[in-house]
Amino acid sequence: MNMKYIGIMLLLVFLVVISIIYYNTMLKKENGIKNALSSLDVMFKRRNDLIGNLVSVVKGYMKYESKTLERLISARLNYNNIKDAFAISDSISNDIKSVLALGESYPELKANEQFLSLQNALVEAEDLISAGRRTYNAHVTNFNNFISFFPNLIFAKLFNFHKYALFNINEELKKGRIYYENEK
Amino acid sequence: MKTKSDFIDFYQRGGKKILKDAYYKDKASYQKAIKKCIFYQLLILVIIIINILFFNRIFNEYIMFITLLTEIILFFLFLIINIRLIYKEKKKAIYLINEDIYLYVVSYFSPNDYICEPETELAVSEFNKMGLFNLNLLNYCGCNFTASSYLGKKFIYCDVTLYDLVERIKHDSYYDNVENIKYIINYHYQDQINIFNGLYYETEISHDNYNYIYLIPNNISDKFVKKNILHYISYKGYRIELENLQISQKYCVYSFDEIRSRYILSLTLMEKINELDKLLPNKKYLVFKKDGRVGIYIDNFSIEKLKMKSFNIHKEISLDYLLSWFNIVKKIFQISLLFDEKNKTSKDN
Repeated sequence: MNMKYIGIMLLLVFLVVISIIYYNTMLKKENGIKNALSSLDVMFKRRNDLIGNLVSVVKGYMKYESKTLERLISARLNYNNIKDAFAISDSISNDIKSVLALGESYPELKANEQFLSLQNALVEAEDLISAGRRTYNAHVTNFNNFISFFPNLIFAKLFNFHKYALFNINEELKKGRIYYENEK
Repeated sequence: MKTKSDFIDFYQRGGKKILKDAYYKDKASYQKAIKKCIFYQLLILVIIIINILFFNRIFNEYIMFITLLTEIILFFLFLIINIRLIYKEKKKAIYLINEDIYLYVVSYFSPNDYICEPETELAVSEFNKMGLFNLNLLNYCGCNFTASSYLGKKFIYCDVTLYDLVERIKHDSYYDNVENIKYIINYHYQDQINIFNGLYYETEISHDNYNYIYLIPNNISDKFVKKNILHYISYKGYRIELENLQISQKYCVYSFDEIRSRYILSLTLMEKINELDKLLPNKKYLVFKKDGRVGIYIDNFSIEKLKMKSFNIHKEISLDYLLSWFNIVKKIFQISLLFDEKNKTSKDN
């Protein structure tokens, strides 16, 4: 009889220990995603600041392409959280490229030191966002793989861990299948 | 870009004479050694002949036998010494000729902008700048320092040996028959284990870098080195899994700032590292340093080893042999171009 109880107790202790290990591992991996997300948030905000400066510098030169500028300004002003930035990141990048390409058409703009330094800063910001996106995707893939395998998926269900969507799947994002801390 | 045909033209225009002069100058000591050895060998032979012809009438048979035996032994002893001396002089001559060829090819690639210090030992400060291994734990030596530029890209390289002196104990036992006791003696000795023996190459990258990124090879065969390698590295950081499968298979990447590391190690740069592996398939350590430079440690590949490359010294330097040097030096110089990302755009990421 006693042996039975000891056996059950040992099994329970084993299950508790395993649960703790799995929970901590999943939490650690999820924190990696959150860390990448918060870094991306900082980068998007920095890019928005640079966009503001860029708009003020090139305003006079963009009479015929005002729509691009308007898009950039509205994207900058309407930036509330990283989810917005995810959805429109590619279109902003394209708009920035077309604005920076203006330097080729206007020699006086190309000679403008402020424009040049902004150009360099924006290229760096775009590269950093790309690197941030790759980091985020790497962590998401790692996390998604981890919680998809058996028996990890049982613990993931038990502790309410969900799969994250990759950065480039905009459709998924629109459907709201990306989970954040406040949404879980 | 310097091509083979340009190099042949350059060689035909004036290099042939320069290298011919250098060849005969470097070979002179070897020829002198051969003459000297033949002279001594003949001298002993003459002594033996004189001995046989004239002294056998004066001394008795026993003394004659002993004398002759001694002379014959001396003859063969001298022969061995002379062969060794000739071999040594030959190696020295080959080394000097190769060095001249190497300097000639380097001067072709970078006519006005190169410093070659083949014999100077590297200063401690130079090792400190290399930035990968913890020099408080390792011993180091190096030579063949070269600073140059190729198509506007500056770089330096030099031979480096980094080694650890490991304390080992050897047990020996003997049995004392008088006291019936077995004694065990422990000998302490230091064993030199090479952590790295090859070429250190340093060039610039076009991005600003604020943290160290290490690429450590996965295929370290030496168990001791494999076990201790992370211990010898100065900063390390966290392990980062990169997207490029080839890179992930070949290297473990360590850094404290993952996003910055991915920013530096763009998809283009990772492809270029793969190209570098095709160019020089030796085991490599890479360190991206804070000052916007990259240090590449290429194992088992050094200028010193190349200088010892053997060829037929009795014939003048052939064009094929010269071209083999051209290819090697071109490979070394091309490394700097692989890390030139001037045309890189954000698209690459």
